[in-house]
Amino acid sequence: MDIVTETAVHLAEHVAPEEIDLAPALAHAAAAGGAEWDVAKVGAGGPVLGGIGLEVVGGIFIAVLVAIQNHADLLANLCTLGDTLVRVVRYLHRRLDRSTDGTDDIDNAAKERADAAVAALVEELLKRGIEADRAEKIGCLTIIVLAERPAQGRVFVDAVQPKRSDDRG
Amino acid sequence: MASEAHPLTSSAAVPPWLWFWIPLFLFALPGYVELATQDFAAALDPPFGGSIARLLLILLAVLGVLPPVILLAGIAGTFAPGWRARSIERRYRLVDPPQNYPSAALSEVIEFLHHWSPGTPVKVCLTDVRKLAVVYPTSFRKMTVGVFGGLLLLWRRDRAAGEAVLLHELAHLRQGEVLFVHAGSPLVWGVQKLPWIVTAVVILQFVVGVMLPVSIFWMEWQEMAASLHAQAEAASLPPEMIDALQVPFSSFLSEKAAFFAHAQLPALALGAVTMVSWAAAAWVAFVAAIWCLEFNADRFAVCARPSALSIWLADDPSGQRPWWRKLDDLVTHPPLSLRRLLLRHAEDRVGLLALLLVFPAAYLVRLVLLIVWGVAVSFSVELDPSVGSWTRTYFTSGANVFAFTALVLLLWPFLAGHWESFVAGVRGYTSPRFFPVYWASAAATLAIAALGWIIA
Repeated sequence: MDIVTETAVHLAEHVAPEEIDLAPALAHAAAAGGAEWDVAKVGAGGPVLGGIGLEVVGGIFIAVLVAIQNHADLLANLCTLGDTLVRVVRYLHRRLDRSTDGTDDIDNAAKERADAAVAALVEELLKRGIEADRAEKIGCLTIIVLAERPAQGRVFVDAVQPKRSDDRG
Repeated sequence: MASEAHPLTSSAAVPPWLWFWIPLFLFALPGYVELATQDFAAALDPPFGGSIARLLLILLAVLGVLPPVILLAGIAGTFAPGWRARSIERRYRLVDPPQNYPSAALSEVIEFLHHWSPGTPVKVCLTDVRKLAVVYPTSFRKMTVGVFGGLLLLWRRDRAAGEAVLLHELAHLRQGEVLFVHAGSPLVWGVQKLPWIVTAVVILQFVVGVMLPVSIFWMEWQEMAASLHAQAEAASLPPEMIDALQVPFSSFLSEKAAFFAHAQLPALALGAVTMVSWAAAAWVAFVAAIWCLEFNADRFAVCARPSALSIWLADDPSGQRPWWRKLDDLVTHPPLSLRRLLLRHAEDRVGLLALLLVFPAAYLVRLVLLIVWGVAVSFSVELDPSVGSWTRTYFTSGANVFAFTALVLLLWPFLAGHWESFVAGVRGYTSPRFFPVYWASAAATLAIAALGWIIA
């Protein structure tokens, strides 16, 4: 399994488990850019319509990919934090759990970078109709997944970057 | 074959009317050609009026040939399934399923499809999450199922619903009408666009029909004004007096309005009735035949997987679509309320009877619309617009069609299995408890045929 596929599956497991079957195809489409990705992006965060009077809400993973594309620099920088990433992951887990126990062992600069990355992703997800609580959770989980395996995360973020300037969601 | 893989339920509860209609249509084709030749000859050399009258008559003639042209295009489209397949695969980006793709749902979907329809090729477009599945022909005898990302989402959320979607599509495949309808079908495209074309022509007719007399009145008024000026100058009247004598154009036009209301508007309205009734007569039968296919596919899915009924009872998401898209959708997908109603009665006799009578009822509506057309045409050429004679004409000519339809309904319980076997290589079964329903629908249809023969 290549890094893009593996990271896409791992990311979908955490942020959109129901869309895990589509994650590798969507990540590769994002990496390739072009018309296929343009069509896929239309489904970001929105409802899926069937021809039989059925509604399936999906498109969360597409929204996450678009958010990653639009903030690739922020995420790539975060992946270069080295050993600090362990503390970033711990901090984001505590933020997810809304835990007030204990103190954060993360320095302010790293914390600010992590918060800025989460805020940027959340903003993108909100733009695509994902409700605030879920967007916050997805934003944190996305960074946790990428930061847990930073080398692969960096490759993934680079791979899914838009190939043309007009390919930004 | 295992009974679970190929359940006894027939996927062709209702005869595939489009197939039976083609010989009827080809039989009637010389009549259409003769009518079109007459219409075009009259349009190119109109007995009255000028170029505008010619334009209107040409429009009417073009509109008159549209329904048979659409059906011909549909038939012609069946001769190029390979081209249609390539076009659909390009449009929807359908490709062979990727090897070693890490998705349990995709493997399950392919396994399910091959379980129910062994050897059917499957193509996928996993990045399109807004679509579920599609069937299309790749050759005369080979149909392909296209699976989209949306189906995998559904599969994971509600497997029974996902199976129902696939069974619905497989029923289309087993009914053998995929060559004519569904994705990329020129027939469906034509039927969807016919109402829009008719509306455009009717509007154009009204615009031309209103603008033409107004422009004639304008010319008349200008001639009057010029004549008045000439007379006034000859009599050496002052300009103020000339202006006082001149009737304003608006007053002149309002004087003519009575003429317009009595002569022009009824002619325009009659033209609109003629166009709409002719096109609607063709449209209603096409749509009924396509709806029957959908009802059939729904029925097969629910009979095979009763739990699947829940997905048709879900909220209608089409509310988010613009109204013009909904109108187009109506051609290929009957109203959800009607589908739900029929599905609630999928297993009982009344439900099947209603389903079997959809097409004969639509054909009856078609005859009524043709009678309206005939009466309107009689009015427009100032002949005796006898409703009785037109009713006699159409019921007489339609009697044989109703008789043929009745014969098909009568024999269908015995033919359905053979049909499925011929089309898809699998044989469904119709329970004998439904036989009387087929015969009752045949009797009702035959009664209409008999009515035609009696009044002939």
